[in-house]
Amino acid sequence: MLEIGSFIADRYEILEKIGAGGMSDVYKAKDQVLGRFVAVKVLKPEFAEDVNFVTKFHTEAQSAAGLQHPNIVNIYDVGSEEHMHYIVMEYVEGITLKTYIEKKGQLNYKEAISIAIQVARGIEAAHNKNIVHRDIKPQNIMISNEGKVKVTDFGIARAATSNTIHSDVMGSVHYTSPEQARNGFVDGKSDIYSLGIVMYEMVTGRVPFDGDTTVAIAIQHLQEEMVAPSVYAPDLPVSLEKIILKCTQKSQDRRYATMGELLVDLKKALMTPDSDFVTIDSGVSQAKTTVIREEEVRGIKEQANKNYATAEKTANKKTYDYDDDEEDDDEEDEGGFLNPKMEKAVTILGIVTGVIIIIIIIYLIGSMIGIFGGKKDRTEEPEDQDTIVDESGKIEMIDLKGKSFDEAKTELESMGLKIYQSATEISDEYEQGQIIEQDIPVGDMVDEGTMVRVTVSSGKSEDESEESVQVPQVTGYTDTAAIGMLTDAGLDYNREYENSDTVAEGTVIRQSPESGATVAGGTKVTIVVSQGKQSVAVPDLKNKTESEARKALEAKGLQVGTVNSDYSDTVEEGKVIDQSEVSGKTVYSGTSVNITVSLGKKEELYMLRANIKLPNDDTVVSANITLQDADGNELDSWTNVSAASFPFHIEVTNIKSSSGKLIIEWVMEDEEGNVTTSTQNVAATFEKQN
Amino acid sequence: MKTFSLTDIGRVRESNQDYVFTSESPVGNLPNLFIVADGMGGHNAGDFASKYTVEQIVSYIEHAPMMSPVDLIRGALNKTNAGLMAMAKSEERLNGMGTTAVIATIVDDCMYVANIGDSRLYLLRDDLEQITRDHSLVQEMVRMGEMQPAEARSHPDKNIITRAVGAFEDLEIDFFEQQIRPGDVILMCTDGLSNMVEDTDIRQILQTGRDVVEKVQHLVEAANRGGGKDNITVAVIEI
Repeated sequence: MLEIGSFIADRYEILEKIGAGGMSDVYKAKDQVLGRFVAVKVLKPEFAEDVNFVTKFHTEAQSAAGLQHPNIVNIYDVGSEEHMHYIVMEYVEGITLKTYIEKKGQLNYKEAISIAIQVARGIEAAHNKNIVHRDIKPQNIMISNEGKVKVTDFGIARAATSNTIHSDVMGSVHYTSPEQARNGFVDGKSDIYSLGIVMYEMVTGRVPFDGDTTVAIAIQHLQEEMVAPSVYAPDLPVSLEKIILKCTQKSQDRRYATMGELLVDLKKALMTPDSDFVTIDSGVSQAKTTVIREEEVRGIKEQANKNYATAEKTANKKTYDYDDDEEDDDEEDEGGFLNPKMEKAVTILGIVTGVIIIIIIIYLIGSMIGIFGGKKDRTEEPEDQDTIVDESGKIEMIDLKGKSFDEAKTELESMGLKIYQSATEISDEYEQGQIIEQDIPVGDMVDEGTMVRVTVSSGKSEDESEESVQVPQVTGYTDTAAIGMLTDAGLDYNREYENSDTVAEGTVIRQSPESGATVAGGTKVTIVVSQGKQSVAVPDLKNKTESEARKALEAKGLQVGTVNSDYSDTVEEGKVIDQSEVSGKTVYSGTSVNITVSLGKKEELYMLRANIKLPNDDTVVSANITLQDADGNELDSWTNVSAASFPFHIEVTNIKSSSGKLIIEWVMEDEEGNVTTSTQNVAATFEKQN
Repeated sequence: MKTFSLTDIGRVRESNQDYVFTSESPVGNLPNLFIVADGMGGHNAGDFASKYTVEQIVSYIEHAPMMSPVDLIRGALNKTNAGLMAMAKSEERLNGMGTTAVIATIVDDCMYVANIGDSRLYLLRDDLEQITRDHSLVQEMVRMGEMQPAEARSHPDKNIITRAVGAFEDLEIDFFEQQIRPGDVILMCTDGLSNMVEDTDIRQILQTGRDVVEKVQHLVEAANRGGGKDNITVAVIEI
């Protein structure tokens, strides 16, 4: 922790702490040599003691310092002072992309593409110098108050991830590429992957892969297909969706090869968003990833082992012998997020899954062609039907129609088969709870353990049904839960959206009909789902009168905060000079905005100070003095000032005009007592008061 | 460098309220020092004011540590101003007293000048140039009321000055810096000279006088010839 006002390298004056991460603290500082604000990142002491770490840190910082690009937070200086290691970089006034996305929820496609283009340009500049970022995430992307997008923390990320695990790692895993998760291998395409995830988050408001543990999330990057972004952002243009998908391909070869290629597509997407021009390789290379050969496994293990060897806490054991799996359990995780044993399990799982898939495909094709024997007779009474198993050990599918779900389940289970209710439908033929349809036809021969999917009747249609349903309570539940409840109750739904200051996003605010009402089955229940607090853009209030400004704010659902006043040479009296929230900024409705109203030009005041000496006439006995302004108005006067009071000081302040006249009437008395006067008129220019 | 100065009561006044100090040798940390002051105030308060001011300034500079000439002079004037005001308050007869002051010092080839009031410093090179700016109210020759003989005798143009030492608490000093070359002639004087002798005559006298002594004497004579209505103080420095 540095003190405010302390200096680093006798040059950077620490002003305030502006952030803290897992490994470092960031301060705003003033560079006294160049007279500009900078950001100083100081390593926390616990990391400063590690020599390896510090050396890597310095080397990385120096190479990143060679980067100069408008979309990169530039590094100005690197150094150390008494075991305190620091980096001096560009000070950016603004917010992170993470905060921006949180505030806006989802960004529209134009904005997302514009931001992505700027980030890609910054990263491209680094790739051209053979520097890979390795830690692209919205927390590392700054948006300045002027709207400039800058990537920060370049190259430094490497020094971090090679050594220790700590909380920062959990943050990054949402954006980490599969190859990075598996074995720590990173190149330019890994940055492309991470940028793809960031784009996903910009347009949908959420990350594609999430979970409770680092490992759970990492596995998803390796294996899970992401939910297409258009599911969460229905207006997403096809080109952008495809770009995101191409960036986030599990296999590096199927992604964009360079940032340059990505930029070409991004720019096209901005111009013709609905055109489908993105090409992704399909099929051919699939084979590479599902079958992992012995050599590859060996190679992967060696890589993992190398990471172990460089770790501080590694014991003297040599871990290059790849056959000794058991020893690996004791080592710390290095490089990749996964323990190699886990990796191996995952790979084996992959192979097994592949094999199962192939078998099922063969079976399905086979059964369609009728390879596996003929059909048996069906009987009319489902309860008496014997399980028919032919010589090959397969089971004949029975007729489930008309059975209640529970009945069917019991029966199928006794046959060694499984059942699943995949849909509910209104049926005039079957009563509520009875099976209407089954996906495996009656008489088909299936393997033991096969699952048959059935559609269950929810009862007759409205006009004929006596069945009525009680509307369940769905307000307060999430919309997905509510829809599930309604469907289960045999009801239909209609979903509407509304902003709410009180109800959380995604939660049902109200329903109609109300819970407890009795309605016919299949009735539509309308649920109104919250979109969260409404965000509005702050209007431009400058040069509006106070009442106009008030109206403009209230029209947007904002409030007038404090009203200050100040002088202004440029803004008319009564009009707004300044506002506390910048125009165009997105804030929650109800936010207060303070305004400063102009008092007009500050009145210039003048003053006069003078010493008046007696004229060279010793008959002067007194004087009457008057000071007038330029219009002849009297400003001040002194009557009967005796000669003895001279030199006479006068001081008149707060004069509004800049010049005037000083009139001195000298009163003279000669020896005989004759009184005469002589008037002196002096033009006076006044001085500006303070 | 050659210097000579004279102060003369003139032909009208009953006392000489001017004061002059010149030193070609170092005073404190300054290599030389020249001061001209014109006091004002009834009952000899003016005498006191100008003498006190010059003495205080010299004393301050003598004892001050190394500082720039401007800082030295400013410090000296501010201290003197405070002292003068305090005394004016304490003694009735000193009430309202004040003084003008022109201070000059030449360090290498640069002359530093400080001015408060309507005393002047001129530089004669090819032409006579007034370096200081008078702190008197802008004059207008508009007159109202009766024409009186008294007017001829009074000096209405010059009796109202806007700045003086000892007059107001915050002192505003004009500073000037001027490059100096060999052959330059510097003239410091009170308004007793400048009101009585036209600038062209002053220049001529400075150009024709054989040495500093003669120049000064001729100037004083010229002022007296012109009327001598105020105290006359002249100091001439030849580089």
